[in-house]
Amino acid sequence: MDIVDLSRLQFAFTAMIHFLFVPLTLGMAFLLAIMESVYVMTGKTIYRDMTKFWGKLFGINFALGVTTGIAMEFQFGTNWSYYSHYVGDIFGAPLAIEALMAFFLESTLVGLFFFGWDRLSKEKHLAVTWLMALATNLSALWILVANGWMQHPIGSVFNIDTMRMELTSFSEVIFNPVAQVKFVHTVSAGYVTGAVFVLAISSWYLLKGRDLPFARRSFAIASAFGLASALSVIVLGDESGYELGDVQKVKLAAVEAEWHTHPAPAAFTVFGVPNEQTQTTDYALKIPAVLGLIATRSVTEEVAGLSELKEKHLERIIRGQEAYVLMTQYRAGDKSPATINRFNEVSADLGYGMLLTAYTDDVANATAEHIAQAVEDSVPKVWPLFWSFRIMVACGVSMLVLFAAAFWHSAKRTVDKPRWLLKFALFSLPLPWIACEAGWFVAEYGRQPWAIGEILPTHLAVSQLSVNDIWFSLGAIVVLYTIFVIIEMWLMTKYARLGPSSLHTGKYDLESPATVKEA
Amino acid sequence: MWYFAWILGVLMACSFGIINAMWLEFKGYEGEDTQAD
Amino acid sequence: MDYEALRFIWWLLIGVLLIGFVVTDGFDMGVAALLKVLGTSNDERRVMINTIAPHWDGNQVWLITAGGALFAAWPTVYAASFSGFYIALMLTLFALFLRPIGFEYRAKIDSETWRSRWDWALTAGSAIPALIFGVAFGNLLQGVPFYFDDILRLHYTGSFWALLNPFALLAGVLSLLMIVNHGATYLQLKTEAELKARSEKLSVMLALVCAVIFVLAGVWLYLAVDGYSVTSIIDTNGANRTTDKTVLISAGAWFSNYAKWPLLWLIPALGVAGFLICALASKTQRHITAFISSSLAIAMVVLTAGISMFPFVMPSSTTPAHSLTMWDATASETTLMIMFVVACIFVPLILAYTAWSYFVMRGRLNEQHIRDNSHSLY
Repeated sequence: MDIVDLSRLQFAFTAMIHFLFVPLTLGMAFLLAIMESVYVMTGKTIYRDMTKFWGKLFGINFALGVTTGIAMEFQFGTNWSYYSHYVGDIFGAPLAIEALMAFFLESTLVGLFFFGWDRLSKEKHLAVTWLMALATNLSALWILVANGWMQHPIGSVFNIDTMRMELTSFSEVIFNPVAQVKFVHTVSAGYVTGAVFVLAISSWYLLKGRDLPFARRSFAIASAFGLASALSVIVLGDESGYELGDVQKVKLAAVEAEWHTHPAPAAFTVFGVPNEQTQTTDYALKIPAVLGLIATRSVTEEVAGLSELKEKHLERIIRGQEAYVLMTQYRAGDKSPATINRFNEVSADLGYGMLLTAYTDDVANATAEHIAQAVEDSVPKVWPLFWSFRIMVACGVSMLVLFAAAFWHSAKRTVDKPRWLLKFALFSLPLPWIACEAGWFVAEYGRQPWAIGEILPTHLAVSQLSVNDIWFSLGAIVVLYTIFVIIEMWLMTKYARLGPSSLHTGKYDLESPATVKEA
Repeated sequence: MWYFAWILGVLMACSFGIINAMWLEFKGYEGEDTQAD
Repeated sequence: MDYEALRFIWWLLIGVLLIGFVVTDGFDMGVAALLKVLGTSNDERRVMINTIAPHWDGNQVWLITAGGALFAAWPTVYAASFSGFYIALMLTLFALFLRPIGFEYRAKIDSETWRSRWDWALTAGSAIPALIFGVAFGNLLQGVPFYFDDILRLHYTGSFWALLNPFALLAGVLSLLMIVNHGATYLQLKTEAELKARSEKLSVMLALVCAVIFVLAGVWLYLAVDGYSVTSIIDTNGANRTTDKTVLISAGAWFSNYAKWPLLWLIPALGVAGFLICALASKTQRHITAFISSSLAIAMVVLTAGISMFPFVMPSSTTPAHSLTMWDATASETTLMIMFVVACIFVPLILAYTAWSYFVMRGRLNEQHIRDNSHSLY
């Protein structure tokens, strides 16, 4: 493997592991705020115990979120230094604002959330919890503004003198439609994760007949919050589809295995086996017109297929080749108006020209094969995207059904909830994580071959490190993260099993002297 | 404006969670002889 | 405000963030590094950990913010330093991994072995970054071997082992000891009885050692480390022309700013004075004075390094013309302006709620308090 593969692998691994912890933090923070609000309004201490117990699990998760988060911030500089130089002018700003506006607040308040119970009035502590929840979400906001810009880079322009992208409109970057939809879709997915987590563990207590009042109340809150959130994830996921149809046509075509443009309105492939060789989808089960409706909100517009998109890429690569050559001439000292004017005409395709650097060092004399290869690689592989997208949607729909049933029984005040429902909830525990990871895979793998959409190819973005350096870091990270995740899951299971007894209030089941000593 | 939709949505989801819990407390959890405090 | 002024302001702001990091996260790193040194029993170590438990996370965000600000305001410096010092940065990162989980998980299982492992993890997680940051500064002062190619891709030509040269190691030791000392002054403020007495004794000694190393490093820098100076004219108001300048390497160049503005000598002098006052105050049990003077001293040490190198931030030893300065490795004027406004709004807010959180958690901790709240504390 070369430095590009290794750097990508390391980034993918650290990002995927980081995102095991983030969604739970996003969702649990609001659930804690809801529980504590009920405590303050009703004065019932069981709600304070709920806040504290679920807060313990939140803390075990949060610690690893912080740990793996530091790696994310460092890695742009360490492994993606050309990326950092090339787009830092735009990309760095939301990251810095995230730290200043959100992460500081979140990290300061999380300390008060855990240690401030006896030192703050009920109302002040509640305010701390709400602000902490808000801050975790603002963190997500700025990170997704940055990520949205990678997907759909607007509000910026290439500066040939400084050899990088520079910011022209910060409000365009903030109000980037991709960032907006992504943010709401991602945080709602986090809320669903938190709700499934609380619902599943509460269901386990109910199944075991333990700590019933505690479990029923947790179940009720999680089912209501979860139902509202699951609905919004799905609505916003659909909106993401519409945004993709607008600005990330390649990703949409790959996700839907749209090999060719079909007459409008496009059909939606529910299931099938994408075949890269024949550029068709075998055994496809299609619903007419649905994709057209999702992606274009009309029945008359076409959804571009991959082969048609590749034809466009060919034109752009040829113009990009010229842009790259002119850029090199300019930087070597040819600052004649002819060079500058022509460069400005073709500079929008400079990124496409850069794609050629993966195949030849001499972009000016790239052969037809080089160009054909670049065109071929200008779209991501179809089957991984096709499948991960469908896994995500299946998990999402299943969770919606779960919440609908759970809420129904909670609202009906069913005394003994049906065991199938409790088991369904318990076994749904991994679903939100599978959905989140699959969703991020679609978002990031679907962006390939670009690091910054149509601006900077991934292979150019890396740091010029030695293969051994990256093997060392990747190996160490895999070992460390594996150990951390095992410890985390072990502690999480241990405390989930102990349940509210771990608070040592003396009010809960299992608080025999033996178990008290253990914790 | 999806940011605005988020503000409304998250307020709604949280209120939904709180109101549901308060309503259940008010009606009383069935099957509980003594009310949890 | 013009580009030149913004560039200067951002040099100051990066300095403020770095100082914010060493002054706040410094003491919690110091406390954690001292766990096995000053804490003789589990209860004592728990007292130490709980003095910083509500704050270390917020403090560490100064580091995250400094990294983010570097990315936004000096993208090329961020790219060059983080990838150039790759192995060193990775080691720092691995060490930092251990802190959040160490704090959170240590008290979760009642076992002596479990706790002892996490104590070592916290010690390593705090001491290693403190050491490496000093080593990095020591190397910046000597220049780093790198150059840019024609599309401004950075190529680092040194090795990790070359970073561990005597001068850099001395800087690393200074960094480690001043942060450990800072931790000890914080413990003077927050603990009682024996733990407090031990912290006082340690501070008296460490602060004096820090003063000596700081002066020694200054003399070494003057006698044996060549400095850099820009000999062409940089357009401080124009676009970055990072690789189009001429740079001279000469003995004593790192002292030219002090020669030009003799008042600047006050900065290192205050640094030495800070350490001396800290030693004296610890001896006479003036805990607040000890903590403040230690904060002052480490702030002045960071500033001294920055001022000596000004306007350089990352000189290149192999291709001096490609050295990065705070005039020609910055973000665009638009970005600097936006980030300046953001910093003006949020830095005061951050200081306000951070101060409030310290106020809420004020007071000294003792072992009885730990035993009484065994299940809710770290």
